[in-house]
Amino acid sequence: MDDLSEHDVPAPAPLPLSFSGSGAEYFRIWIVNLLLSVATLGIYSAWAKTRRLQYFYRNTHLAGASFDFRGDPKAILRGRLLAVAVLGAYHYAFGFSRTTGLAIVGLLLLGVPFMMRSALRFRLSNTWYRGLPFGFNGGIRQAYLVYLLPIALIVVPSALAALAMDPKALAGFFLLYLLWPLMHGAMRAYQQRHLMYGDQQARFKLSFFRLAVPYLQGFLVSLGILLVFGIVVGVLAALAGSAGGRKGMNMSVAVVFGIGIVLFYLSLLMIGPFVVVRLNNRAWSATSFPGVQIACRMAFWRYFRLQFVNVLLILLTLGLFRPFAAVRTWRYRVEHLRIDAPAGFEQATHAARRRPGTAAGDGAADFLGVDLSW
Amino acid sequence: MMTASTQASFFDGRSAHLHPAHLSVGAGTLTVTAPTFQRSYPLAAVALSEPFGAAPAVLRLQDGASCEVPPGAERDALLAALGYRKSLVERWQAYWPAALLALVLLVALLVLAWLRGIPLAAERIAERLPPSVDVSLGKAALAGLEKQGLLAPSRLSDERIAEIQALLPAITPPNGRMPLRLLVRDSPRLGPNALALSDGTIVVTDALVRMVQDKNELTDGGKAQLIAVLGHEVGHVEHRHVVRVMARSSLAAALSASLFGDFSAVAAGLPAVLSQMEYSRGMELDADAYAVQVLHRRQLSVGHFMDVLARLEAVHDNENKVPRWMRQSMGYLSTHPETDERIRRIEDASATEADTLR
Repeated sequence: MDDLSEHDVPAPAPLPLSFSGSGAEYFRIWIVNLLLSVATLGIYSAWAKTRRLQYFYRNTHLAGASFDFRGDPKAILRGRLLAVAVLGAYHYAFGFSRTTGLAIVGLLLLGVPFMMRSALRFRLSNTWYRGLPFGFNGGIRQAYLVYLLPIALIVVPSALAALAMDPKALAGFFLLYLLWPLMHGAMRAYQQRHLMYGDQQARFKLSFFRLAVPYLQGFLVSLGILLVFGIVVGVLAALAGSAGGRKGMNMSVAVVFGIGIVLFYLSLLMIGPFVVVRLNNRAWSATSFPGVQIACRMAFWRYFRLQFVNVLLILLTLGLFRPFAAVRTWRYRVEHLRIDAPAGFEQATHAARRRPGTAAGDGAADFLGVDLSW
Repeated sequence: MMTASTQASFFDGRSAHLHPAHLSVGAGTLTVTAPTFQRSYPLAAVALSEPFGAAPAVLRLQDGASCEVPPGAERDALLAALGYRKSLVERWQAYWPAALLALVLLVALLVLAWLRGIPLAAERIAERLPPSVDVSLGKAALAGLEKQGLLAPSRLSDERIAEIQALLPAITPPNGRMPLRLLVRDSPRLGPNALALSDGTIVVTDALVRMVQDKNELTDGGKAQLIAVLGHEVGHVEHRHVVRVMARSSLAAALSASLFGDFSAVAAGLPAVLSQMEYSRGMELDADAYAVQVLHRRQLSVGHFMDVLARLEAVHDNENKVPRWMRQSMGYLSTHPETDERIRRIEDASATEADTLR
């Protein structure tokens, strides 16, 4: 949630956010939502989404007030229909002709950055707190600067493959993935910098380079594990060799090798949550509104353990644990945000009417797996 | 008219200030009383939204103001006085047995959709697709097979290839859906095999031709066996099996994507779907029946078809011991029903055919 808040009575200590929902309650909402969505061929999913956001937002409390989502389900439905049409077109584009394919790819490159910006505007301007809406005033030009390259990374390789390009040229293109941390940093900085609450404009004091740092840290830790494990295996192998290849020695090399492989894969698994935690901490702690400081202090190990249990239980229950997992994750995130607003939230007032943005992007962002809520 | 009252937080919609207020409903009016002001709203000007258990209920007022009413018995009384009626969905999700019933219904619905809904919808969609789809699909499939190195130029003599090409008129139906084209290609990986592509291209492998040859000669018997196999493939083309299968698997991918939220299968596009394609059992039997018709038309014995099936079975016997998912060929026997059953059905079909001809 993007929030800022304020207190009526000046409070000396930072204010915590709290969450009053429960997994059991959300499970019932979720299962009914899912059934109705499937039974209506997805049409109800727009209403389901509204209901889900309302459940999570209204159960999130700060300084005696709650958040609220007031998006129009019909707008979300339009967005989803558009997203399905676009995905369908992309799916079959090159099946019809090269020209159609290229046209669709061009359309995606031009359209998606615009849709991402609309998505942020829709989501934020429909998020309310204390009778005032949040907002997003990022410019269209910056949206293209920030989103064009990542979209190209998704769309262009498959287009090139469809056009039967030389695999080597493709490989060169894949090198661009190394820039992903910077791209992610830039997207996040764009999202944070242009937040609004009422008429208050957010400030964001980090460059996108600094937001890419968690990726580098994660990468270095994995590399370190790999290195240590390589050295241990090397030393043991050398010892085994000098000891005349005794059976026991060879065994221990094999065991260490096995442990090393497991550790390496674990470290790869951990990079994801690590980046989520560190990036969120950095991004939110660097975001402020006039008179309102935000601090995000999620702890990597606890978050990792939480997600590990979530994934395990979701698998064991064939997906039925998903609503519980969603509640656990949301609660953890919410409860590790602190808002410091010594003078309260009084200075925020309703901004002059802004256009609310369309839901088209919001729907598309869902399909692209972009998490807009954080 | 019911009356009720409760404590709530009032927001005027112009500032973030929280006004602790007292709400009361009576005589068709909602009255908000705060220390510094009092406002009244007609009930028609109050919009209610779903109150969740532990979350405050939100009342949205016509002038942009809103109230948050904390949960409790007083809130329920207030909502009742405001005329709030729980929607069906709300009542449903409030009640555990009903929610669990939703789970049962969901599973039943998914099974039904998977087994019945998708094939039915796929047929409807396939009917509406123009023939140009068949053509571009076939071209894409051939290009894909060549790119994967699955099909290489034939190593047979030009003379032999010409002999095989000469069989084309024999298998071409009188009023065919689309012009047929016969290709002979070398493919060690596919073995003795034949494939039908949706644009009317039929690919025969060198190994199949060698299999039906007798002492390096293509005898009349060998030709009849080829006609049987080709007739089967023409059956796939005439019945438009490729497009029907594509429609079905695309729908299945879309359904699983919307369930599991993983759109990679949908976004992966056509090549991925093509490579996983397989005909259903019923389609294979339809194609068999078609091959029998072709043989009858040419006044050839159905025995040729059974012979060639038995020989294919012998060649692919080892392959059949490999689990399905490990087999590479998308061709002949891997998706085909048990040979014994097919031969029995072919006998039945040819008996009926003979009856009608008589």
